[in-house]
Amino acid sequence: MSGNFAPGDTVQVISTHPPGHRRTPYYIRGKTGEIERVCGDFANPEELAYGFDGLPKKTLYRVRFKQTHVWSDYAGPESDTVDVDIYEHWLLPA
Amino acid sequence: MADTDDPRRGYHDIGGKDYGAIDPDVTEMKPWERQSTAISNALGAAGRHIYVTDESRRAREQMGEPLYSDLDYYERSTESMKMILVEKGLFSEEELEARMSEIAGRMAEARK
Repeated sequence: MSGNFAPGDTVQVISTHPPGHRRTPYYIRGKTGEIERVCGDFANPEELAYGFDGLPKKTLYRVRFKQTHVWSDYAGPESDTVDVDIYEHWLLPA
Repeated sequence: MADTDDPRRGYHDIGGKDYGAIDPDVTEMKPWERQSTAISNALGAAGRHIYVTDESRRAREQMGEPLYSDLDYYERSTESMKMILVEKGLFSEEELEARMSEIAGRMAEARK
């Protein structure tokens, strides 16, 4: 496992909008969450998308965010969360 | 931050936008949809490995919003498969058009 983060670590998703096939949804860019689990190492889909081998593999994390943090108008309970699978190159320590 | 009119946002990247209720009606696959899926599987990672799912997803994001909105699910997957196969040089748009009109002609002949 090549990952830099461990469950419980606080991370921030990079806030950038480059062209091309990007696997981090728009709504979660720039948001801060907590590593829920390490999903494993996988060929980088952002390279596979253009016919390349996607190597070296990238570590994929499941990151948990508070819904009230993600959506400014969120009306549900404060305890609600959303989990998003995010590759390591989209994450910074926070 | 979630500016829904942000031009940097891909037209496929709709998380959080209001698209109304999902239609839960499941319809039977049409014969051509089954054929297209079978061809895609045969050419894909579990078959000949000529293209992978990520390339097909990228093609959907590249075909442009008007076409993407016009096509339904299986039309999108078929169009994106074609885009990747043309990109890889397995056939050209012209060869595909020629083959399609040849088949259309044969079908018209059979209906006479």
